[in-house]
Amino acid sequence: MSATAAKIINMRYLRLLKTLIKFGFIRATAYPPSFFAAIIGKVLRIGLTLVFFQAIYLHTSILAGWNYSEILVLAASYFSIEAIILATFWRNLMFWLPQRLQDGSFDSLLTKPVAPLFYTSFKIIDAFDIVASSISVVLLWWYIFSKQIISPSFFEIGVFLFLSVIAMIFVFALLLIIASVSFWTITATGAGRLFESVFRAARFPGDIFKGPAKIALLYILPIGLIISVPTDILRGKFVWSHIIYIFIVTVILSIIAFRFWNYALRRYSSASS
Amino acid sequence: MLTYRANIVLWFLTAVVQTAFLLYLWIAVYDSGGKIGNYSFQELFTYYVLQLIIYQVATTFISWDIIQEIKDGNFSQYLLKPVNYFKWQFTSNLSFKAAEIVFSISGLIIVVLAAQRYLLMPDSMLTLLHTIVLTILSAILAFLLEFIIGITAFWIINAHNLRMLVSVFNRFFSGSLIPLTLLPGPLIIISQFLPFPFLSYVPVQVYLGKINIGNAYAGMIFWIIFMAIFAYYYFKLSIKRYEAVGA
Repeated sequence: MSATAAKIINMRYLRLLKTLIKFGFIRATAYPPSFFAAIIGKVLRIGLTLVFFQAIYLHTSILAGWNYSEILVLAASYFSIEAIILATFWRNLMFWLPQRLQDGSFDSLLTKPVAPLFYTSFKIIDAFDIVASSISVVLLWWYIFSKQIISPSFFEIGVFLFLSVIAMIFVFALLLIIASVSFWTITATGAGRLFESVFRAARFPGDIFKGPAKIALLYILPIGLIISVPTDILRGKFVWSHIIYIFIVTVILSIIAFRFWNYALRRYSSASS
Repeated sequence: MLTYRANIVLWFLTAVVQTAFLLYLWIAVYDSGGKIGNYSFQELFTYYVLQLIIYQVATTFISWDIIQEIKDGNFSQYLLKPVNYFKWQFTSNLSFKAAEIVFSISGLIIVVLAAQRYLLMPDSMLTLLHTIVLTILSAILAFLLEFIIGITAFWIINAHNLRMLVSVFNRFFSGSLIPLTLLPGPLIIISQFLPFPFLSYVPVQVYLGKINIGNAYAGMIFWIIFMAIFAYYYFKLSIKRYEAVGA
């Protein structure tokens, strides 16, 4: 494919994404009371999580080597990444795709002149999460920087952003594998909920886990590292072994995920009558 | 519900995973030399295991079904049939609960066998009986709450977000994240005026002997009666306002 053609295709997908985001906002604001309830709910969810951590630190000054200020940075990193994931591909892969497979409407998606993976992953953009999470996350980062809890250099911020993108790709790859199983099991709602609860382990410092949980969450599927490692960068701690490990795992997982998705798509036979 | 049995098991596993993470967190606090209010580690472990079981038994999601039925226009059929909608939902929920109780008890047996040295036994069979009775009452309260949230869809067409908002409060003030007595003072005061602690926190505290049984029953019965009366009149008013939507 020539460079021009690739550029044209990329611009087309960017325009499509922009349109999907616009539709997301139109859909979300169609019912104003519902929209504001969602905003309040999501802001509260983040707020109550911070209250939860505050309650813990009423009873200890250090948690697995992290003090309360550092936990705030971890929480801000987690919610920033979670916001983008939840607003974009999470629900599309975990809930929307299994529903479409179940009722057979996924077939019509395959007839559209767009990559099925792209459309499946970004069909519904959750404007609630974009707005509500942005408010909470921006306020939290503002608080962190105004209190000078951290003072990262531009380089550290750059590495943090890079590792945050790696974290999102890691989660996308995992979700894609789980979602691809839907082609055989039709419903993956339970798996989606389970993964959501496992992903929440990333809110906590990885060092709280012991034994089999530590092996599973830090080494086999390093969910316990994907948020804490970028956060460590902002704290001025570069643990290169963790950074390289996360990068390699993400690359391998992504290759497996895309191949499995393509395999599942090739094997897909419609569920509609 | 048993059509997708794997989903049931996965949902239960979800709750187990969430509880396990919280326990790891508290173990880390104890290892850091922290002291968790008036909870020993055994009490805290027992607290979270019981919270898991009782929350699973008491919690229901009928509001989702009710909201969808109203949103899709399928609610109209219930107005034509000689069926009391509240009783219909209640009995449907009972059958759902039966399956959940089986899974919850199975999970409890596994936990008891695996971690019995960390679990506190009740100080008497009477305490255990009170815990079971309060759990049953909390399931009734949870149903009433969900029913009220569900019929709000008569007023707000897309009520899922309101449901999500209430579930945030529910999750926090039912004590499933953290024992309520460990919260900052103002939040403890707020929790005393909400029904959510009675969904799982109060039965657990009765088991642990940390709450007066009389007060537990009094509060539970008050909220059940209040919610039942509110649900009755709210439903009557909502039906009058009902406009069928959807095809």
